[in-house]
Amino acid sequence: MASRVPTESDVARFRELFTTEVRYVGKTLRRLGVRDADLEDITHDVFLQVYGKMETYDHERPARPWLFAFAFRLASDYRRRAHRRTEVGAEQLEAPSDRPLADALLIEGDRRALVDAALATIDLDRRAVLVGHDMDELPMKEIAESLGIPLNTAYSRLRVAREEFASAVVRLRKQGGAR
Amino acid sequence: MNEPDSFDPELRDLLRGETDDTVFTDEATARILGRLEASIPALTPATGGPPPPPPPPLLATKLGIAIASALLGGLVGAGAVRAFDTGAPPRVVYVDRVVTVSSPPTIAAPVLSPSVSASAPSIAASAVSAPSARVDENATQAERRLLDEARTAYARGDGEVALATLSKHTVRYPTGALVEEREALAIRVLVDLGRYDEGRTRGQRFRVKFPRSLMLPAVEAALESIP
Repeated sequence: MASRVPTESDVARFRELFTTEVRYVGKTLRRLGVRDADLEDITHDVFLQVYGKMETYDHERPARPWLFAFAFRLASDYRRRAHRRTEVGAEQLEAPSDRPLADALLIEGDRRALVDAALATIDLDRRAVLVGHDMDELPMKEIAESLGIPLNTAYSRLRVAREEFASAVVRLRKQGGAR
Repeated sequence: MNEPDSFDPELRDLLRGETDDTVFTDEATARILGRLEASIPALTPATGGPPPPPPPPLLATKLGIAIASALLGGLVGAGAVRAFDTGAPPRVVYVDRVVTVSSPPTIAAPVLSPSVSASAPSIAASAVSAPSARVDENATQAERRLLDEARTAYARGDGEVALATLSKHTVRYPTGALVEEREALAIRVLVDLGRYDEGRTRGQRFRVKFPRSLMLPAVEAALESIP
């Protein structure tokens, strides 16, 4: 609870971190299921928390695994809140079924829509490992640390997530009439 | 444990090809930074904030009118005395009157802008909730400590902890002396956390319950920041 007040150098590093990594954070949040309409808000929240923890930031090490942990936590909170809301149900957070996704794929036909749709079918805990490892190419050890899970658990989640992703891509392509 | 079985190269390419770093436009990035600067005073460049608003001219205008009225009244009165002066010596009558002097109004620190309102509510609340003789000082101090804890967590960027602390205050002091301050802070935290609907609901209650609150401008500013 007792954390020191950020120093001037913390503030300078924070600004630098924001400038270089804000798009990475936004992209990661989107991959973890945050809607485009909410991306700015949640990115703001991530950096607000990052600022509060600048004392723990080791600028000698890569920042992304550290930021990934914040993004994952905020994305989890976001999804929990969205599930509790009555006016913005989970079905609006991510598409409820394959049908609209397939329609979207037919219309857009781009890779990002397919990847997003396939990712949306994967549970967040497993998806985070897949995103960190296979998309951001973060070291698995750092992903496990960021998520607070044992390394073996991280590998297990990656294996399952890959299977789920592959199945979803096949299914979505069939339903979307894509290649 | 080793790396899991090799991943289908096509799927790997599909995932790694998703390297779109243009998730935010420059404008969006600037907006986020602007909001952060509003939330974290230390981030605001030290070039000086907006100039303080000029003092309202109402007082000066009223003084001017009063002085002009007095002068005019004096002239008219002197003219009337001269017109009706019969030369008889004036008779002076002294009357004792009880004059009720009302206590001067309490002037609270104004809430200048949303960016400083995190600290402003405590100042304003102190002025608003002037302790009566019946207020338990210890209880008020305990309330104050909880709110300070919540405010510190909020300033640190830990909105969830701030809200949890404010909830403790709600449970322990449902009708405490600092309810107004608690509610104003809670609304700001909710809005910052993106819990807009809860923020709006509590904001509406705040307007009804504390329509003349000095913290109302800060609350309104937070609610207006909801996209």
